[in-house]
Amino acid sequence: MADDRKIMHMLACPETQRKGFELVVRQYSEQLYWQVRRIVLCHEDANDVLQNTFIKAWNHLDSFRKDSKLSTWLYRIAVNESLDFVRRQKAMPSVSADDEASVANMLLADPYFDGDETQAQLQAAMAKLPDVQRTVFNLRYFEGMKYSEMSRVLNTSEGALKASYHIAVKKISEYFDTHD
Amino acid sequence: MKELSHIRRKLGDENPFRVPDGYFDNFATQLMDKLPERAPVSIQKGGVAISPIRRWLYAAACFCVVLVGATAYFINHPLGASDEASSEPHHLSISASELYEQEFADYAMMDNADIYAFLTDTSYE
Repeated sequence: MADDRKIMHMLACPETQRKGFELVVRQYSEQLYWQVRRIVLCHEDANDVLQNTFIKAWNHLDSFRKDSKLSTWLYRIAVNESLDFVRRQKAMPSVSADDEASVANMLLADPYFDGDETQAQLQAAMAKLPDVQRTVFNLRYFEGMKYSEMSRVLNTSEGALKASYHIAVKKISEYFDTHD
Repeated sequence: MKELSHIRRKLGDENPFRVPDGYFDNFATQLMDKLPERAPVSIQKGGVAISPIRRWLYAAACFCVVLVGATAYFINHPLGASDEASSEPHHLSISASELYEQEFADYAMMDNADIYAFLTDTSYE
């Protein structure tokens, strides 16, 4: 795995910029994919969003400030792209991204979803959380991201993030209680 | 947090999502093929890159501005004229004061005799 400093050096030099960006993609694509997938749920959608994330990063490479972490910057783009996708989906009248039953059925029909009905229903319940709450839960629970870094990714105070996580945990726990 | 333990027991460690075989291995290659060519821009700490030649040009421009400004200042304010210049405001303030007294006297319709009489009036002592 390439060192971040080495990658930054390559990105800073016009001759090696493209090669450096390829290293960025190889290093961060899997990590970002799972974050995107947990938000958009479907593999094809996650693939589209992930590609858009890196294309956007490439087109805005000159706006990346070297004094922040590369991963933080990439996560921010990925989260924004994912949430934009979900909001566009919700705005489409034919697709009900909020309806728990339809989301669960969609997951069960997805060839790239290995969970059982309980898992599908859980994912559907999580999909009903407000977007930012769901993102905070995913970043904290599945990625183990520190609140300090999350604050930079989501541009929100640590206090607000902790409150969001606490509320998300309570709601998911209550879902389990009512569906046991 | 009790609820968190509850969730961990229910969710477990397994990831229910999966990807097509070789997806991550091929992703980078496929993406790089799609990336447009872009005019290479240097990334430097603090944001916008400035080439060395431009840095010198900016420095020279700043020096010229300072030089022109200093020249203009000393032309308008030659050395040694500061005493006269500093006395002007004082002279003007005295004139203004005198003008005020004249206007006041006209307004009050008082002449010097009335003023002296007022000042020497012993009835208030």
